[in-house]
Amino acid sequence: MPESVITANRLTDGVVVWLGGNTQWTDRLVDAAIFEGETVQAALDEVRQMDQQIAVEIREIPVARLGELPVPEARRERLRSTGPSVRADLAGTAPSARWAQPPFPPPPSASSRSPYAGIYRYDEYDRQFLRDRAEQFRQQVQRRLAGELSEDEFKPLRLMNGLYLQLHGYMLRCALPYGVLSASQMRQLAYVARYYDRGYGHFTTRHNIQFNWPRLADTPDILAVLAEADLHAIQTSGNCVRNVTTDHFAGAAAEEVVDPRLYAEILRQWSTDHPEFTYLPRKFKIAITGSPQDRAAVRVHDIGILAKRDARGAPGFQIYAGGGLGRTPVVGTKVRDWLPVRDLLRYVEAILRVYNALGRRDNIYKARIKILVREMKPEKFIEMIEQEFTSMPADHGVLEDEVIEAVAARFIPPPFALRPSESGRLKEAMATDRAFRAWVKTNTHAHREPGYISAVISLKPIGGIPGDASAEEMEAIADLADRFSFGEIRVSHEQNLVLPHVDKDHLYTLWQGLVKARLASGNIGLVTDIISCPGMDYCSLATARAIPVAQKIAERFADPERQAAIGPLDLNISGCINACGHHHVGHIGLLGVDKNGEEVYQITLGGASDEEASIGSIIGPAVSSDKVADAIEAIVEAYIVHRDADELFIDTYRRLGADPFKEAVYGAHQQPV
Amino acid sequence: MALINSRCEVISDEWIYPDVEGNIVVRAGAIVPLDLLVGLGISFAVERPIGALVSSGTTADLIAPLLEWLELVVVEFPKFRDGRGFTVARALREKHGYEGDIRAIGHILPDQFAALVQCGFSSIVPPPEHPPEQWTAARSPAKPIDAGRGQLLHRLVGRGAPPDINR
Repeated sequence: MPESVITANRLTDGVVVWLGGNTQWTDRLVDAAIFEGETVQAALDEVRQMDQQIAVEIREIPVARLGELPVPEARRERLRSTGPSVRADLAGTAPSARWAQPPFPPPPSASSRSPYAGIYRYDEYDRQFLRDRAEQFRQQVQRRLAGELSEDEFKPLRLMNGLYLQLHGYMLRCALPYGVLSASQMRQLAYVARYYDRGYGHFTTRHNIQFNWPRLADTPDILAVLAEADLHAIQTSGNCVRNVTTDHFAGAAAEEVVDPRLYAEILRQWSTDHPEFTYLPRKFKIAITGSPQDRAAVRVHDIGILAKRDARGAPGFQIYAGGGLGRTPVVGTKVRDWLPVRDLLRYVEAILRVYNALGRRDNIYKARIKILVREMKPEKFIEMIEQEFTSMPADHGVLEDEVIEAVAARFIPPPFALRPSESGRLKEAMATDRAFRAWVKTNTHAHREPGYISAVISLKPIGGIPGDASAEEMEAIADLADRFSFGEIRVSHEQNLVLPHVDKDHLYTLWQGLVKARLASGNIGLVTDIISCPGMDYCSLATARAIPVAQKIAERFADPERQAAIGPLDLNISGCINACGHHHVGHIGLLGVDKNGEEVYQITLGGASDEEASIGSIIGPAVSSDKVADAIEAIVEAYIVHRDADELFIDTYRRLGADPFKEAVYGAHQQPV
Repeated sequence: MALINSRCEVISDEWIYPDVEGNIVVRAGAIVPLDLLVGLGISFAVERPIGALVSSGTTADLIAPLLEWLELVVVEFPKFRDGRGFTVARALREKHGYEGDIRAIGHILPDQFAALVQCGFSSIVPPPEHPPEQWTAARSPAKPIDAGRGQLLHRLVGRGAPPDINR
């Protein structure tokens, strides 16, 4: 007879619990009551009725037995019962010992300010707004705990504040607007990780940091701590306008035409707590870049904005809409070739108004704007936006010059020193230190200011978890930012960090500091700089793990010489069709799926997220997890055989198509080697 | 029926709503489904005042031709997560210049009060599971609906600024 146990997450702290024999919840699977056949239903009905204020997501799961111990049949549930497979070091800690015990020291915001970092400078109104939001959430949590709000009603409210329920408990996603943060903000994040979480955080592909273990009851305190550093988790979830993303070299890159941070900030303020667009059919993502090199993947966003200049040098925008990844990947449609700055909010609002009125709400998989654009046809969609746009009152939402100037004045330009563009000290260090030279080649980008350079800190050490950083690493990076980059840090959508404004004379010293902190992986843009979503190790939507596959591939290509010989290559991994790991736009993409309980990975080739954005194509049957590294190696070797001198992987693929790579992976029989 | 206004005060409600069986009376002081009003040819058939009940999925453009005969537009929210009603209200106010009463009804939460008012709703029928006292309690001081403040952008940009929309 089939056997099952009843599981849930505890409401107050998210801990995975099982229903024990005496209808008490326990955090030890070994103490779970095992139900035979249909007997589970009555127990399930009872606790669903009685325990709404104790446990959430109450459900039955089938189990097998290992001696007396019930073992969940589904991989996801086994991972829930043991913890993330990639953090075996955490598994031994009982829930009662997971979190630091108060009293805590005062948060870093009390003493650390980073006066020169290029973040938008809050005023007292902004700060009070965040404090009030934290307080409002405190009340909502209290109403939930008191039973005044049902879980169904509370869920969107907690999601509006970035609090998800994931596999192992709650997850808090904190926004790092347009990827800019100060050293003191980074210290505040480290503080949250250390005292309210389990000592680390995860930088995502959308300028966010995720904490994997916050307790519901602590979350109002966490939000209050974040607010003191001008940080928040507002609209990092839910069907609203999400964090606006941009180029991680914004305001620094030599080739940039318009600094997009100013407009990203305007869009942030406009969209924050927007009364009309907070309950959209689905989430809504806006990206903006001001550089001819698109590092913000704007063409695969709901709205993508390219900031440009006209013949007279005045800034304006080219607008794309209806792009996106997920289940139905689409490269966006250009809906406006030129939009004057003054009309930015009006036009974006027109797009959102059409979407909010007409976007599908009957099917979650067809609710994104890309589906609306496709179903309406782009011409009709553009006509409707333009009609909405022109029928707005003439004074509605106009960005006059003085508005732009007032917002711009809140960004403090770093006090750059006058420097010659070449640095003798940098040249000398590069000539003498080979490892440094290799790192400079991959991990830096030309700066618009003579004598300065942007440096990327890789969060992709071989064998590490892409995008993860410990509290100690965050603090080390904050210190280096204070010493070498005017206290400013950026987050890239590739899940790395950037020190945007480094004096070339000091780059070698910075690098030595990074080496000391074990943060000097010189692999930016190379095959081991893998974008990976958290996958089934953390995420309740995932169908397969992503991190262990990233680790295996990185280990296979660990040799720096080999990586350098292969050259720039984007490898992206998603643990499910929702595509948080951007696999569709990786030159090589991997999508983990479940096939009869086995994790297998579909391989796509030819994706790109830059100015020549394209969606990758599946090359053949999915390969099993222990064969993925072999398959990737076969693809890379085929590329090396077929490439013309200096030809990039993506260009070889575009020239030759998939055949040589299919042959390499599947041989003549079209079966995985 | 319990009713609150845009200052979150409980007010009396004289309007006649369709009853639970969906029976409708068409007379002065009644709320009548929009499509029925369209079918009746509202301009001459109906005594005033009259209200229209607008089901979700109806766009403001469809209501617009009738606005000059309507004292009240009641916008239905089937689910609080369904935000179409916000756009309907805002378009009625801004695009079509409607100055009558716009009322929210259906599954709405006290936490949505500020957004409803900012989008142009002037009255709200609290659902039975969220009686008026919950609305008063949940009304957060964070919502700057009547403060001349807001984030910098909202202070500077006239009507593009959500918090100022009702001013």
